[in-house]
Amino acid sequence: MIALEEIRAQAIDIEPGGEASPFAVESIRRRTPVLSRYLNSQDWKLISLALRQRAQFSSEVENFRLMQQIQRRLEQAISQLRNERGVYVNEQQFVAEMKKIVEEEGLGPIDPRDIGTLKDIGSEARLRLIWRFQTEQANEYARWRMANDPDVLNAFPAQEFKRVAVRRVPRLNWPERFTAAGGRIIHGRMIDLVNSTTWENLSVFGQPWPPFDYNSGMGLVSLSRRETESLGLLQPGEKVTPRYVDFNAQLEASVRDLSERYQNALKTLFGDQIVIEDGAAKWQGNIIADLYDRVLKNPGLQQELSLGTATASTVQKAREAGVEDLTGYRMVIRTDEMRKIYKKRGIEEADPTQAVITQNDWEALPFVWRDPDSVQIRRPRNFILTKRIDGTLYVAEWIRNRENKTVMLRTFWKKKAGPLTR
Amino acid sequence: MAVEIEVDLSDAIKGVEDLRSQLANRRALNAALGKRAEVELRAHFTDREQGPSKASSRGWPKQHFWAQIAQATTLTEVNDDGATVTINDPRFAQKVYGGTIKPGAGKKYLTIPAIAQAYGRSAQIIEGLKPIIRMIAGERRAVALGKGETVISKKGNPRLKPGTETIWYWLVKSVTQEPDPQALPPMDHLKEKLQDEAKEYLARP
Repeated sequence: MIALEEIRAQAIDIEPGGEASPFAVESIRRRTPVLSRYLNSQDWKLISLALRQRAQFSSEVENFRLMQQIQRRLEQAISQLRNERGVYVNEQQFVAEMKKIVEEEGLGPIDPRDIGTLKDIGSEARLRLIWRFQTEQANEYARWRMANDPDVLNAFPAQEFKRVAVRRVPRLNWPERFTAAGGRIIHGRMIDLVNSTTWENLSVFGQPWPPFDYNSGMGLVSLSRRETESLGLLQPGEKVTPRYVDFNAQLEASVRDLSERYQNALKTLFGDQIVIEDGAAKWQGNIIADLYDRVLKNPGLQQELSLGTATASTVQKAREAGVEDLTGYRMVIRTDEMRKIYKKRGIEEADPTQAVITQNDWEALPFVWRDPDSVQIRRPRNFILTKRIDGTLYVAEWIRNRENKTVMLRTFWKKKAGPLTR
Repeated sequence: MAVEIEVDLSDAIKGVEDLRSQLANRRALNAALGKRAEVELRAHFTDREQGPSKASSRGWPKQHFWAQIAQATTLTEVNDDGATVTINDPRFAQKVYGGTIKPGAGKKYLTIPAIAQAYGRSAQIIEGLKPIIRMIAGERRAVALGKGETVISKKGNPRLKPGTETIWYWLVKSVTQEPDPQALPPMDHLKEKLQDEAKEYLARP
């Protein structure tokens, strides 16, 4: 007989500090700010979770500065980083700061009846919803990832769906929804194995971690192996297979049913950041910044990248500036131009009115292309697009090629002050 | 700043050779214990969410602080040496350890809500707030932010007419908070639960 009482779980250390969950940080950091002009909330629901998880998106918000700041502050909050004032970002500051940007950018609702409602991106209710939803998402994603660790899963193979936060008007139909999703109600409790498909069926967002609906106070409580076995969900010693590998595979396949319209919208939004093959979309990451990094490391690299076709906004502003119709024109970046930009605008930027282009700045380029503030014609084939993002004025010059309907990036810089061109 | 709770049984089992031989896979045991710690901590925080609070006793709107702490509590690391549960919310460290809070760079005062409408909201988003000035130790200083009838002072500045003000926030230069002794569950309870989990683990076929 083993002296079980010898196990003294006394070594519990409590310490301030420590790292945030890398999964929670990853969940926020991998997102790219995306403007929603091309897809509404309903459209987004049809798009695979894998892509939605990689887009920082808020319904009917088309302002890059706002989406970028939302992304930045959430990332700081989840990573436990202090902001520029040396304080941790919290919900109240987030709401105040985003509200200020909304006012500065004039992003109020068109219909005055929507002021202060969830349709108003500047309302406290909407901004709180964004904060709470996204921080909850990040933390719950992290817990889901750890719950699928084989050792953790073996020790805690099931979970109960129950109320974890009080709501003034709680939803009462959860038991029906739970059984409809394939879950089992055991002794009045909503319980299933961690690796069951019940969870993503239950979620209006199609994800197996909370929140399962907007502003829901329902969450998950892990159940030990002993309790799971006593409830008859597993046989003694029966192994449980982690699900996240399968789930990820399913994510990439789940866009197969996307119509051409959605595929086109995705391509317009993300350009080469996603690849659509046989109706399946796969995320490629921040390919421009990645390519720039490869260009710096490999002087012989020859490659070109497309960032999607001209948006309606770009076409219209270009037309107003006297640029030939850009409808259907594809934006292309070549490694040779990147190299030149690195030399002229990166390490050797001589103009004191211009700031050095860094790898991060390249992530702004798709937004300059898709949603410019202004367009200026320079020569018959050359034109400039500008966009101010978070106080920085980005300027990109392009050459139009009528034969293959492309616009090629010629140069890219960011201004501190002074006229756009030298 | 997060709070980390490390569960490490390596010292506790030293010298128990029978146990050592059974613990060929110590990561699995640590995973069970780490997850148990997460479950117990979250249960404690959820209980506090559903219990009374200072704000709710005043009839102020619930901010779901403890639900957010439960949500931020995650098993973050498991290895042969132990497991770590992280409570990833800087407000929790303040609850556990207490301490003095000062305004961030560029700010003079902290705003302490005085009424329900101000609770859980930044003063920056409330329109029409005006400083309420008082003489303190011979010095004029802002003591609160409020709303009320505005009059123009002799110097031409708008100010709240005395007697009409509603104070929304008190302005203070710092706040010192004592640790909350119930921020964490009782350690004896937590140890007992971990011990039960370890026994359960070892009793498995």
